[in-house]
Amino acid sequence: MRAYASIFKIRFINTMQYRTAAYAGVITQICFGLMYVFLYLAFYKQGNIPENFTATQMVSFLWLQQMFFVYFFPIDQNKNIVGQIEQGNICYEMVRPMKLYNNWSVTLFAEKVAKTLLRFVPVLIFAILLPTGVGLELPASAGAFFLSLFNLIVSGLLIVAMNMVCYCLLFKTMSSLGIFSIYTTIASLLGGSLIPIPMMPGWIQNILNFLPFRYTSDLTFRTYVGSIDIQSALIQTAIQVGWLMLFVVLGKVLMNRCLKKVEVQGG
Amino acid sequence: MIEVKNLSKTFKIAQKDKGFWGSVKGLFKRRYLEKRALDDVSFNIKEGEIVGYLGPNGAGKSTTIKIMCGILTPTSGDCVINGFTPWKDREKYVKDIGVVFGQRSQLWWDVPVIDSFHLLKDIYKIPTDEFKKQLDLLTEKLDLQSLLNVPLRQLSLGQKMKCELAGSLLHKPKILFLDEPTIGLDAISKLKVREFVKTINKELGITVILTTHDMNDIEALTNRIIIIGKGKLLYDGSFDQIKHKYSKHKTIDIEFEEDYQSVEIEGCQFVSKVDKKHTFKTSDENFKLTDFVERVSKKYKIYDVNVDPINLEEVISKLYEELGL
Amino acid sequence: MLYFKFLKMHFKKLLQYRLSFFLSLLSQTIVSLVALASMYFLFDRFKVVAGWSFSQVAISYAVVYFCFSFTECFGRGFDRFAKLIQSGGLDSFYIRPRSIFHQTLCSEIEFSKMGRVVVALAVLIYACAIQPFTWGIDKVAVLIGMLLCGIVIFFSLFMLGASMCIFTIEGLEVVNVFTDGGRELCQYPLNVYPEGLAKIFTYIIPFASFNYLPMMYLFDMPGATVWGHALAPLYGMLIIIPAYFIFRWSLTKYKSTGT
Repeated sequence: MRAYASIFKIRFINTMQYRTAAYAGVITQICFGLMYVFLYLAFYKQGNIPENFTATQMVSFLWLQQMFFVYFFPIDQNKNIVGQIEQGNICYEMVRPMKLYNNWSVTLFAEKVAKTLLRFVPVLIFAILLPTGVGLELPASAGAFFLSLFNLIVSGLLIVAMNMVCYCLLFKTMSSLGIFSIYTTIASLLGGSLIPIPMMPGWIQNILNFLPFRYTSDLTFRTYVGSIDIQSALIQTAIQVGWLMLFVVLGKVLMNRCLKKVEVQGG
Repeated sequence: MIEVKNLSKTFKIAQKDKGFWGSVKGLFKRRYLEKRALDDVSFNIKEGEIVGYLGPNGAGKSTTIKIMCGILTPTSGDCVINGFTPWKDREKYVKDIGVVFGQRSQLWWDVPVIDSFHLLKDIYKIPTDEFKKQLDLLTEKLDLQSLLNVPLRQLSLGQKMKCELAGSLLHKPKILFLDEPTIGLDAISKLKVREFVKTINKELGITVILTTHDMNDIEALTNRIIIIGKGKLLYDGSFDQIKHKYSKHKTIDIEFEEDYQSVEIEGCQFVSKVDKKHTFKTSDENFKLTDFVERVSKKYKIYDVNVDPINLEEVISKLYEELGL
Repeated sequence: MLYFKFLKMHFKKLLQYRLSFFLSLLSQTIVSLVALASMYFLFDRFKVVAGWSFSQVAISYAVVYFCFSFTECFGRGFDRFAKLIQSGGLDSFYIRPRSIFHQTLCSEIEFSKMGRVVVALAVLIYACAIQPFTWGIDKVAVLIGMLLCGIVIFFSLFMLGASMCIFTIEGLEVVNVFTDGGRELCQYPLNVYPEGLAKIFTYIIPFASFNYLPMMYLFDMPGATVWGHALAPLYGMLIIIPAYFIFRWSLTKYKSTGT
């Protein structure tokens, strides 16, 4: 356990070095945030607004999305890990006395958290200071706040677990080109990062309930803004934890298979 | 042919303050540190010469070469090469120079070498018949025939360097700049590169300016060296003279018949001892082996003696030391 | 002439990596299709935005995607100028008897972006075909002007970004706010946004000149004039003049990196 804590620490510190990239990220997020807020408000002027997603809720949702943009990014293309897989340097990792699955997961999660911490505060301050109607509002209730905080943490773990499955599949294809960006695009669409799910046609919303993607950012943010009431949010949180467990098991099974393959090939 | 006069180049380096507020401050007000990369450097090079341009890392070698190639603009000073000022008449001037950077390639990584050559033909607007002639000549001299149709990435380091050399000479330059051309090459490839540079200098009359850390390159190619350190010109003259100056330094290995605990010899400095073999250093200008052996054998029983003159790397490191680099 | 030789070389290079090329092409295509799909979902619910229908906004989307991806494909050298500096590639441009501009243009061509160009073109043709009005020669000319102007504007932005890289050495992600941000912003006609924002992108960075303003003429919106709207793409293209000279000027300030 201590080994993982120190991996987390070193990855975290390492990522904190990239401040310049983070400042640029903050500016990008603020600009995109403003743009989307105005764009969707223009759509909302037409009426036919989704019942469970008022204009204020929508605006807060969009700002949360920008604040946690890197946290909820569907897949982190960790150069180190991709390099290890593509160039077969994985044997070095395998001689270390710890499980590769845990090692990589901790790495991915630490980098995610560090990148987020560098970015979300300035965006948060900016979004709170904006006038009512275009800025971030307080959570719907104390319960909603704490539940969404829990959702936030589980979401990060769920994304990492899903990424691990992707990395295992990368073992099979050995080439990351194109695959990451295809996954990012599709996961963004299905997770409600391109357009918020409540604005989508009903039949698509029904399908998305059965897929894991929306149990990340969509669930977290909509719990916060009160677009999902506490009772259904609790049920959906249970589903979220279920998905997390499923993906962890799946990832571990796949990983073991892949490593066996590596051993057979002689690494 | 090449006239460099009072060349100076100063870089401004922005100082970064630490922490978040430091970087915010940095957005509005920046502190600069001035670094003199070149300080009043002057020299002349005649047509057909080979000149070794030496100096430790960070001395300003690359900066000089980059100014002479037209990549950088100097802060002050003048440089006329072949009638042009490199950074002012860049496009006209560079038609007559060839450049090889030992550590990076100017050919395409993924396509056969010959395709890169054809592209260079178009970039330099070389007429087809001239290009063919020159390519044939270079192919023969560098033995390239089997390499031309292979993508660059599949070639060994030595083979790559041969192709780089050919690529830099396709447009028949009058001056060739070689920036560490033998870096990382094996012994045989190094010999081949040196031989080739010698040939093109003699047969085609190309002026060569060479930077290197390998003193054997200099030994094999030229007697004229220019040494630069901390941006200043320190020495411009013959290599032999410097070698001669330091040739009095010698290393002497003596193997004795008995295992002496300590051996003292007048005029020599003890360095180390392994079993019966003792090593000494001397700077005696009038050193004579016969006298030396006679003198020592009066006190000790000698089995074998070996005298090494100081080697080239040591000459240069001694020189750098003396110049305070 | 030289450009076509380079084009051939880039193509040869591409043939060495066929599989990765097709994968990138596929991903580029999917990315643009998904963007279109999400736009469709929005119009499925809201029908109109700020007076524009789906088929009209589809033209806006297609134009901006076409221009951006086309420029990304052929102006890639400027887009990735920081890499060029870091790898020492720019040094080797200085020792060749051709202009740096010309060599940068030749240095990289990213064919996989053609996936987006083709999707955008297909959407454009379809969206044009379903417009309720008839196409006159003037409207076709305006549309072509929009495409050219968009390419010129994005290209100028890439060039300005490259100029900044000469001073910073590192790539500047802030530049992406204008390029990628511009691409996202211009998918919708600018009157969707508040007036201040629209003004910035009309007069400072002339994004409006290749979509919002000429589109008002295209769809006979009230108040659309020939001089103010149909000819807007011509005015917008002027941005390339300062951009080009800034690029030229910054090249004289180049500090080569490394040993």
